[in-house]
Amino acid sequence: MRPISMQKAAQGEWPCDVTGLLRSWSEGDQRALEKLTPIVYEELHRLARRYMQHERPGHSLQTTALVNEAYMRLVDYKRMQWQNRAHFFAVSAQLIRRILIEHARRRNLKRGKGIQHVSLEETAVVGGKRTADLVALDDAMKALAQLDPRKERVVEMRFFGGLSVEETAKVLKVSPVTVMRDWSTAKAWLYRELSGRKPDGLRSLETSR
Amino acid sequence: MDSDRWKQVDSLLQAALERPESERDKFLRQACLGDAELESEVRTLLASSEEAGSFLENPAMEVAAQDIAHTKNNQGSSLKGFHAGQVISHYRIVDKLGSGGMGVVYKAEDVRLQRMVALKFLPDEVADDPQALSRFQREARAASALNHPNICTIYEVEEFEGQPVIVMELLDGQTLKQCIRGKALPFDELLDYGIEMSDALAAAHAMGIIHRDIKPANLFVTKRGNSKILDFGLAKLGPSTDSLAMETAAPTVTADASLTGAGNVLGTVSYMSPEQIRAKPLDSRTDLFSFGVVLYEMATGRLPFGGESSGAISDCILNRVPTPPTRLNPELPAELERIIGKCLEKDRNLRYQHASEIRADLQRLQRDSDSGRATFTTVNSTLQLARSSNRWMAVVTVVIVGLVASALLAWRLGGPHRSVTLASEYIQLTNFNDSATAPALSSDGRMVTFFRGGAHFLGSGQIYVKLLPDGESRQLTFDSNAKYDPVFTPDGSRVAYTGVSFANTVWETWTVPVLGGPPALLMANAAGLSWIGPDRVLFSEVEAGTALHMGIVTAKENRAEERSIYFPAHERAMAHYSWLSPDRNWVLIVEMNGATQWQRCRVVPMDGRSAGVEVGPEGACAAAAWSPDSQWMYLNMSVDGSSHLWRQQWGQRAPQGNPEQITFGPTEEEGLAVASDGKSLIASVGVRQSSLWTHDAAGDHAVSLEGVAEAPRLSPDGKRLYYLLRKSSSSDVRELWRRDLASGKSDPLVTEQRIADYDVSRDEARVAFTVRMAGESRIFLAATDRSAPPRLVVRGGDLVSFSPGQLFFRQLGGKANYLARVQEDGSGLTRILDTSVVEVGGVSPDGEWATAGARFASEIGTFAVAVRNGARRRICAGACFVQWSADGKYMYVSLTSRFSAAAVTRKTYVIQIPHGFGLLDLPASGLDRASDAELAGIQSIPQADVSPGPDPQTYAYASAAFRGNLFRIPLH
Repeated sequence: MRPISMQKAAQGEWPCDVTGLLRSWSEGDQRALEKLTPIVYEELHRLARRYMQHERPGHSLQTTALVNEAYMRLVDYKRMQWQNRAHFFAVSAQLIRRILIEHARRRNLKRGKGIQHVSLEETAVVGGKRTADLVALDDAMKALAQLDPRKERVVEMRFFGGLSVEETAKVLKVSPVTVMRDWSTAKAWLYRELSGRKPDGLRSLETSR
Repeated sequence: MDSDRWKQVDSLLQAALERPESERDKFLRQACLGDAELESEVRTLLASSEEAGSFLENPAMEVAAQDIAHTKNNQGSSLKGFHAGQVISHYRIVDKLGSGGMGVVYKAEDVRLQRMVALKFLPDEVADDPQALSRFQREARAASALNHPNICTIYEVEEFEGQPVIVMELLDGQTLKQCIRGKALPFDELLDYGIEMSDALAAAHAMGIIHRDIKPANLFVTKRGNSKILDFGLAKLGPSTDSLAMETAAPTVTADASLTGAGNVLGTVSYMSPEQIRAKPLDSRTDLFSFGVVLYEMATGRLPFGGESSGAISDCILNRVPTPPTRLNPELPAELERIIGKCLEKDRNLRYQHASEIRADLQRLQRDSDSGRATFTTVNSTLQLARSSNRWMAVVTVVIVGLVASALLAWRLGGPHRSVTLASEYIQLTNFNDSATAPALSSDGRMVTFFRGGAHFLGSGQIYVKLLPDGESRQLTFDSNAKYDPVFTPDGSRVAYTGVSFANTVWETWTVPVLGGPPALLMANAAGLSWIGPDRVLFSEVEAGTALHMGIVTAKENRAEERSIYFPAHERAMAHYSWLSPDRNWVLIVEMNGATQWQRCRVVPMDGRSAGVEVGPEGACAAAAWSPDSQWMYLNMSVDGSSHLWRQQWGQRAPQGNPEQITFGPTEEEGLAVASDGKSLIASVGVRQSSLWTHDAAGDHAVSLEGVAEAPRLSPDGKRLYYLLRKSSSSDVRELWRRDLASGKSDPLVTEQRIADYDVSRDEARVAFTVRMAGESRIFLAATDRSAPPRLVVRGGDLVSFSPGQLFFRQLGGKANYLARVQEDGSGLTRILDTSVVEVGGVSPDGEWATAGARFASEIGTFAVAVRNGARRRICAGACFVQWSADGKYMYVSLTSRFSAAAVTRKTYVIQIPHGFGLLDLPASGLDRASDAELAGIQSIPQADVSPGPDPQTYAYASAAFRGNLFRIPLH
């Protein structure tokens, strides 16, 4: 008998499909990625729209809830059985990474073309609103993977997958303390890598609260 | 850096971080033992760590989303800066007109052509998604080809700095939404707009362009009083309609904050057609339904299908008949009400089939009211009762059909009648004790060929021929290959049939001489073949490179000049039979969907220009034929489990009028052929029989029983068999019996009842069963030792299952059915789901999971529902029957609904459930749609609706067979 994953059907309309698509993708079906991409994009834009509606300082609790909701809608982590959750954590973090990086690449490209966008970016940076450079992070993470693959996976799961320390620990089958240590070293290394590689030192992955 | 070195760096960094900041410097100096490079490495990391702050602490989704929000906010302010005079490409911005879900709209001057235009920038969701973008470009280019005075013209589709822009006609006026604002429009305006817009729809549909989002916000009225349809081709954009096919900013509308958020979705749902809500493939008729909603709103100022939530609105659209418009606006003519009602038919085959028909009816109404001849009404007239797909309604329909049948019978006894066929006039042509089915006539009408023995489709029977009226039946084939669909060659010298060898699944057409002789191969990869000329054939072919994608093609007998006519959209679907209309324009088709279920009959144009339309009632089409004048289609269809003949008029391009059932009664029909004079048809008429079987490691064993036995259930130990027994096939008394399989002794448990369904408690002490009496379904409980008479548990319920201490069942409401449970003593009746259900299946032995077919917003299928909290998990995308073994170790999923005779799939999956876990995750597509890979390793049984025994090798099932002979049925 084939092992069957135990994802709980979520309350939303399509997470079931996401699970199936994730499975197909992890088994090498590239068409699944094509189907997953718009789903992640939609979630991303839904989130962005809500930021635009609610953007006010001091709403970090609500922000956290929104992000959690977005992740939950993509993959209903909490309700999975442990054994298979681990697999899905890993796969979905990888997937979200891939799609967000692709998205960021496209946006960067677009900004490159439009004069307006570039100037807006500069205003933002000068004004202290540091925006993400996910593409540079992705490159740095690839370098980190050469050095210490587990640390890269910790970053992938925590940052891209939105997992907690405990969850990451369970996926990687290490103690939470180890994850904390990996996390702090990786963060320091990546930060140095990104700020070092960019002499202006301004582009970072810090987000405004 | 090598790995040891890195480990050293890592551990020193961690050790430093564990120390208070003040001690770190000293610690590093000591720990690095003068290795300057090491020390520098750790120190820079330490510095980075201290600086990093919130770096990476917010999840990537948030970072990316905030980046978008941030850019958009700036973009918004920058676009406001598109002041008069600013030039984009060759357009000079004049003014910002509005923004909404579909983007931002500007008024601009085309500098080159010196005309005013509207520029619409699409939202990022579209711009960022390459697939959505290319789809948009395709659609918009198609729409830009539309040139009609009542369609807002799209001039160009361009890209500006990576941002797609639509350049379109600039309009001055307001949307219909703004015109209506809760009030009915003046009647003459309604007619003007209605005629213009139906004409515009007709033009678009003729070019194959469907709008998909017709609603007042997309309809525009110019200051000069002309109506325009906006945004053709845009509704299909994006990953889902709810996020993108939203309120569209009309060119002259200023930004409207209320046009965002949930209200959008509600607004959109209100105008959706039933097929849109069911997420079925759409054709142009979806626009006609939405247009009907708009007409209704123009006529009354109100929406026909209202509700608090999109779910409630969807339910209304699917199941409710709207308040007659004349009740809301007594000044309306009855004819308008009829027109609106015909637009709002839920079954699209009963709706207007073309926008031009609506236009014609509205124009006629306009002419008549201009000349004062329109009949105005204040009396209550009702909208045409829209056919509901609701199962309860189907039951009502059957009852009505039954009543009609008896009324016809009474009529016949009483005097003149108008029924199409009369059982008393049937002339029996064959007299076999098994079955003769699938008749086909020779072109001179003097010979009939047919299939004898067993099931016709891919059956094990043989091909026969008979000279009419009383020649001897002669067997023509003798081999053991599966075969079906015999037809005569044009000269009547041979019979062609489809032969299938299952060893390698090859579909071939063979011929055999009518005077007897060896069969000869006519064409490989050809099935369901018939002649449409001396040398030209129409047949089904499996598409090259696919496993089973079968469509209809035509070619010469030597396969020259082959041309495809119709292939079903689904790559596993198969179109098996085809009949060309005598006027040679249309082909009637019988097909299976991707889940190997027979579909409704279909008519497609012979030139293959479109996929045509479905015809006949909701049900499974088995065979069809044309009348000689091509005016009528005769359809052999299984509706609600009963196979009869129907007919429907064909009006060139679309069916006319409702399908009409023409044969009735306890006998059923299988296959038909219409005589060349059109005055009679030949069909197989007979009865379906059912036999019971058990299966164990040694194989299948027939259970010999008197009468018609159905619905077998095996005891948990596999030693006793429960079943329903009808003494004869025409009796509707169904008793519950139990048989001891070892001794062969049978005992009645419940007698003299019309039992519809039942379940046995796990300890076999009690049975629960459903009886239909006095127009109501009632659930009773009885002791198997017959110590007391059956006791009524609940009224208005059926499809009952035991769970510990309780009964689960389908609660039958007047308008909807629900999944419910009740204590065995009849107390504590509760619904498990608020959502209505279609069918109800088994319950897990621990009482944790119940199963039901239902729709949750856009998610349709058969679900397991957690009894405790209503959480659900989809098992099949369509109807399947789910049950558990008594020990709870296996779940059995049969790919058929519980009482549907329509499905040909005879398959039950047996899925092992890991210890201690109530239910599994299954392929997301549903077991019935899952790929072979997803199903790999899952055991299956080649029978539908098996009853589980003590282990997966032991089960019971019923096998139904048809026993019938050919009859000639005169037509009136």
